[in-house]
Parts: sequence; C-alpha cells; structure tokens
Amino acid sequence: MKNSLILSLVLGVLVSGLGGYQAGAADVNGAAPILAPELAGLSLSESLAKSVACVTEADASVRDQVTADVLRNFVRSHPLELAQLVKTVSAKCPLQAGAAAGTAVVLQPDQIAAITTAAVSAAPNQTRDVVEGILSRFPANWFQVSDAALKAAPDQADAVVRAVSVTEVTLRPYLADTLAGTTVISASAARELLNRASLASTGRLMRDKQAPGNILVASKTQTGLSAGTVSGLDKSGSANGGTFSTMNATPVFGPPPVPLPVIPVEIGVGQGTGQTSGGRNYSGP
Amino acid sequence: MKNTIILSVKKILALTCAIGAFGAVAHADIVFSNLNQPSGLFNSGASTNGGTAQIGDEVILAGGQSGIVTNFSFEFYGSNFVGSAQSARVLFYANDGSASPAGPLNPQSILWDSGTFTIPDTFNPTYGTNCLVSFDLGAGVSVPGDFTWSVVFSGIGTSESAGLVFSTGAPTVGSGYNDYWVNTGTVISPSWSLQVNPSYSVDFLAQISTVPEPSTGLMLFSGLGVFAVIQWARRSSGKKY
Repeated sequence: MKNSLILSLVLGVLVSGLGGYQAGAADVNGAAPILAPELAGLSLSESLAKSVACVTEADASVRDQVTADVLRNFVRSHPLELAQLVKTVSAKCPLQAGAAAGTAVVLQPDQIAAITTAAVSAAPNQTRDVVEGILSRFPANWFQVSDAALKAAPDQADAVVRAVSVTEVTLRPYLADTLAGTTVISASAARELLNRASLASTGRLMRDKQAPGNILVASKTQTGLSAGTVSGLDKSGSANGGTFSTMNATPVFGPPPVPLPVIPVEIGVGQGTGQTSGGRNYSGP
Repeated sequence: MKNTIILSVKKILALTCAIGAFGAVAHADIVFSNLNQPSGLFNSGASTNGGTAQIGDEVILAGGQSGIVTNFSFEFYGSNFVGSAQSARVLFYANDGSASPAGPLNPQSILWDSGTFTIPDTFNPTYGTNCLVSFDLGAGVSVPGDFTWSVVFSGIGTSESAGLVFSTGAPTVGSGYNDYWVNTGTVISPSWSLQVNPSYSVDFLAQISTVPEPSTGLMLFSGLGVFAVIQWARRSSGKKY
C-alpha cells in the first residue's frame, strides 16, 4: 500500500512535470499569445498591417515581448511570409529589428538568409543587432548570415564582422585584434576577414605561430583608410592590398623542367577580351 | 598443419594488400600538370596597373576529384628588375562567388594564401627566361575538383615586367579552360573578370599534387577491415556461403 502510494506520487509528479513541459513547448512554438492580434481570415497585407500596428503601439517597455508574440501569431497563418513581417517591423520600428529577426529565425530556421536580408535591408543601422540576434540562436550559420547581411547592407561591413566576432566563439580569437585595430571598410574586406578567420580556426591556413590571432591584423597606426586601399603590412613590409601576415610555406625557385621556345610568344592582360556567354571551352588531355 | 600454413599465407597476403592500399591512399599523385609544354610569356600588366595585378587560372583536377594539395608549382618570369622590391603572392580560390557575365562563378573564398615573397629576375643564365616556383604545403590544403590558383605581382616598376608562362595545349594531367581570370582590384576588394586572348587558348603552367581527402582513405580502410572480419568469421565458423 505504501509502495503504491509512493508510486502514485512519483507518477503524479512526472505527469505534472510533463504537462508543464508541454505547456512550455507550446508557448515557444506558438501558444496563443496574449498580445497578438487575431489574424484569422485576414489577407497577407491586412495581417502585416495589423501585426505591425500592434508592435508600434506597444509600450516601449514590453515591445520586445510584443514583437515576439506578434511573430509567433503571424507564422501560424503565414509561415512562408515571415520575412516580410520582419522587414515591415524593422522598417517601422528599427530598434525592434534585432528582436524580430532573432525570434523569426527560431520560428522558421529555413528562412534564415531571407530573414537576415529582410531585417538588415529595412534597418541597416541596426545591422549589428540583427546579426547578433540571429547568430545568438544559430552561431554555426555565421557564414550564411554574414553573407546575406553584407549583400543587403555592404556599407555595414564593420558591424557584421563585429557581430560575428561576438557570437561565433571559434572565430573570435582570429578577429579580436583586427577589430581592436581598425575598421572593416568594405563587404569584400569583411568576407575575406571572416573567410580567413574561419580557415585559421580550422587549421587550414598556415600562419605565424609567434603571433597567434594576428593573422588578420592591419597596422593599428595606419592612416588613410579608403575602400580597396587598406595598407596591410606583412613581414616583408610591402603593401599589396593585403592586410595579412605572411604564411610560412617557403617557395623554392629553380629552372623550368622544359625551357620556352627560343623566341617565345608574348601576350598579356592588355590584349584580353571578356569571355562571351557560353564561350568557355573545356580542354582536357 | 597444411591448413594452418595456407591460412597464414592468406593472412599475410591480406595484410600486404591492406598496407598497400593504405600506402596508395597516402601517396600524393599529380592531378594537374602542363609543365611540359610551355608556349610563351603572359605579361601580368603589373607595370601598368599601379604595380599590382592578379591573374588566375581555373583548373580541373584529374577526374574532377577534390583532394588535399600537398605540392604546388607554377612558372613565372621577371624581366628588367631594378632593386629587390619585386614580389609575388599565390592564392587558391574556390569559384563560389557571383556569376560572371559569361556565366562561370567568380573566385571568392580563399583556400590558401602563400603570403608575399620576393621574386628574382629570371632573364639570366640560372633560369634562362623563366622560373619554376614550388611550394611544399605540408599538411596540405583542401580544394574542390575545380578551383582557381592565382598570382599577385607587386612592386613591378614601369620599366619592369612580370607574368606567368602559358601553354596553348591541353594539360597532360587534368584539364582546364580556354580562359583566365583577371582581378583589376585588390585581394581585399577584388574585381574579377573572365577573359580570353583573341589569338591563343591560355592555360598557365602549373603542377598540382594531392592526396585524397581523409574520409576517402578511411572509408577504404574501413571497408577492408569489414571484409577481413567477414572472412575471419567465415573461417572460424567453418560455414560455406
């Protein structure tokens, strides 16, 4: 009898715990939010307008919560148009862009690139918040997210790199010094920085072992930064448009195995013309 | 006694095969080469492009197979050098950028960067007219079966010239295309264009050696292991299948 009682109590606790979990899960996945509008039967444009109005009219102290609730509510009736809502919310309330994007990617992870693009393009000044909001949930998607953000707001390259350095811990050691020393000035520079940090973090890029983390360092005292002309200093002291320290693969020079003809043909870049569409030919042995 | 001897011989044979197979996996193979057929010099235009120019060649490794590059060689020339400021930098790219006007994807992701190194004038008795540069890449660089290698020349004065050596014929190992990539921007802010020479099909001279990706060797080794276990189990149980 005593054992049965204990067993009943244990089962009771388990069942109530499971019930609590289910309730929690339902809440995360879209249990009826209190602060969201009723969207049943409304068209997409009406749903967007009503949802955004709910966010804009909310008190600033609860706006994050309202934004999350509105997104959860919206995704039930318009799951494929969630990025549109993120874009509209970000345009009307730029300060909510990060929260909106962060919530949206949890609801629709498959739309992570579209959501990034929507939020960043609508609120470019909030790029860092948006990228951090998304990557705090999905740090492993840093490449996809940073790529989308850089395409949507190329002039926010510095914000993108900083956001990635905060949220992606494996890249942080390879970005910290760069970020401390200089500003990332273009989308292509940001792509290269992130790409090289990724290569370095996985050991695929050889670098100076005496200067861990310095692979991406531009001179902290450099001046005159402008697009495409970063004065990167390498060990040889020459600036060739790169910002990186030298690698440690040593070139070995020697005579060619087969010499050129006595009078070789001489051509050059200046004679080149653009390849035509479909003009590429394959050549094989 | 006889069975024991036969079994031992088979075990030795199996072990030899396994070791041989693994050795074959670990051995580097030449997967692209056209070093044996130089046709001419290709001026990079560095002396007229602010002292820098980047030119690249998209290559297809033998069988289109990805691999880990352990050795890379290419040929270049340098002429009329004054002083020792002339340098080069080699980079490997994945062609995963946006589509060029002609269709093929631009080089974008950097797979390997040699860093800048000083280059000699090659018009001298040591080299003749051009020079072979070789890199031992140690643990190697993972590349897809189709990627672009490129060289940036810098420090080339107005009276100097530097460039790559090209071949008009098809590679003897691997394959390539009749065009080449030119970056008129910088490494950080590239502006790639896919170009052709109106008179010649251009492939720059290079040789690439790879070992297979670790997963390939591992799968082969695992397969051999499973096969050996099955054989052992059959022997032990004495069953005929």
